[in-house]
Amino acid sequence: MTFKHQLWTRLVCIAILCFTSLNSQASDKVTLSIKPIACIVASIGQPCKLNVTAHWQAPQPMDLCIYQQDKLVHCWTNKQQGQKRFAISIVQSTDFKLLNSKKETVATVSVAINAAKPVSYRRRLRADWSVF
Amino acid sequence: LRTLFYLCLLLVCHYSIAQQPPTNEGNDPQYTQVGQWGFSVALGVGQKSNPLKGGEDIPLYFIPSVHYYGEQFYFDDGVLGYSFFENEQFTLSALVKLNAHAANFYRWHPANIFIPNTQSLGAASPSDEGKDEDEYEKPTTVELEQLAKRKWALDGGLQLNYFTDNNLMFQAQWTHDVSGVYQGDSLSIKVEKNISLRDDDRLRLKLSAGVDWHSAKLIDYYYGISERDDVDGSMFYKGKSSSNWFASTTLSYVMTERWRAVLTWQTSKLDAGISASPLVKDASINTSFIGVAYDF
Repeated sequence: MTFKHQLWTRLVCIAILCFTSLNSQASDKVTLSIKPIACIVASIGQPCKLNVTAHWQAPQPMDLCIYQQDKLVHCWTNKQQGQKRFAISIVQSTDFKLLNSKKETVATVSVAINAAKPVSYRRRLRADWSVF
Repeated sequence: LRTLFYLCLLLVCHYSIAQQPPTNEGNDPQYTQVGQWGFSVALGVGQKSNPLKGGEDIPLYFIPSVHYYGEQFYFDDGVLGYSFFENEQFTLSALVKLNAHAANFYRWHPANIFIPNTQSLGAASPSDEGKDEDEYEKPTTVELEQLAKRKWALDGGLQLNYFTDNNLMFQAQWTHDVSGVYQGDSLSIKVEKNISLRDDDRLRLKLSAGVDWHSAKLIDYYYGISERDDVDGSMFYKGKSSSNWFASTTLSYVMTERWRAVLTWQTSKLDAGISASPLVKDASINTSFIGVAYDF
């Protein structure tokens, strides 16, 4: 086997190992879902109050806590999945994060806030004479 | 004092142009945000001529502007309206407003404060204050003091606006005296063109022209002379329906987000139904104003 063939064989092996490793990391990922994912208010600036359900799943049992921005909502100990229903009041789009025991963020979901009536404009029907 | 005022005005303009570049060039002044009050004032010098015999021209130094637009309801400088149909091209509204002709007989009529309207003939103060001595020597056929009080009237009607695009508008308006003062009608047709003279849209020119038709009842109530007035019978005058042509141009320069320099001029030609009245000395009204406007 020539040196050139050996080099190619090694490169292919490395590529296969990398791919396998990436796949393994993907399956290790903690998944978090929040429902509902959006809140509708009459106009921007109004508070939105609603009950949401957070659900997460991990490849192996973990110690995890869910935060609304920086505020602790609930913790689970040595669980592979968890679910929690709680009330929130938000005035703007808000992030919900799952943190492990090392305070590392392992998953993030954002609840968006949208206005039913966004800022709208009208043509002015001005008076006959106006400097404005 | 006037020279000082001009100098101050020039300084304000210069300072605003030199120190504060515009930060909101994309704003279209033809639109306003729904649900938000708008206040503006214009400071400068100007004048509205008064065609009435014995009447004084109205100086214009300070012109306020107030508007509010809801989804359908709106208030714009003395006009209260309700748009019950609106799309990209058409707006059909019902409206009420004070008749501007009463402003000819009252200096502080809202039409002389908010809107020096093309229909307005200026204010003829019933008092003698401010008259030149020479004025008393001029032969006037009818003294305004001899006239019976011309009441304020509230007009209500319909208005249709047609926008071919953002820069050209046609407007037709019909109003009737809903206050029962003169019991007449008015029709108005106007075309308005807005032209941007610079790529950044800072310098804008607004041109408008049209015609106001007023029924004989309206003209007779405000400009007719009859038994109600303390005038010799030989001076009686019966008002006739009139069609008054008008044209105006306004040049504005956006200096900053809130400051604008404005220059405006308009003229209105009075039809014979008005100009033939013994109360009227001029067959046209000219209005001019130069200054700066500030949006709060």
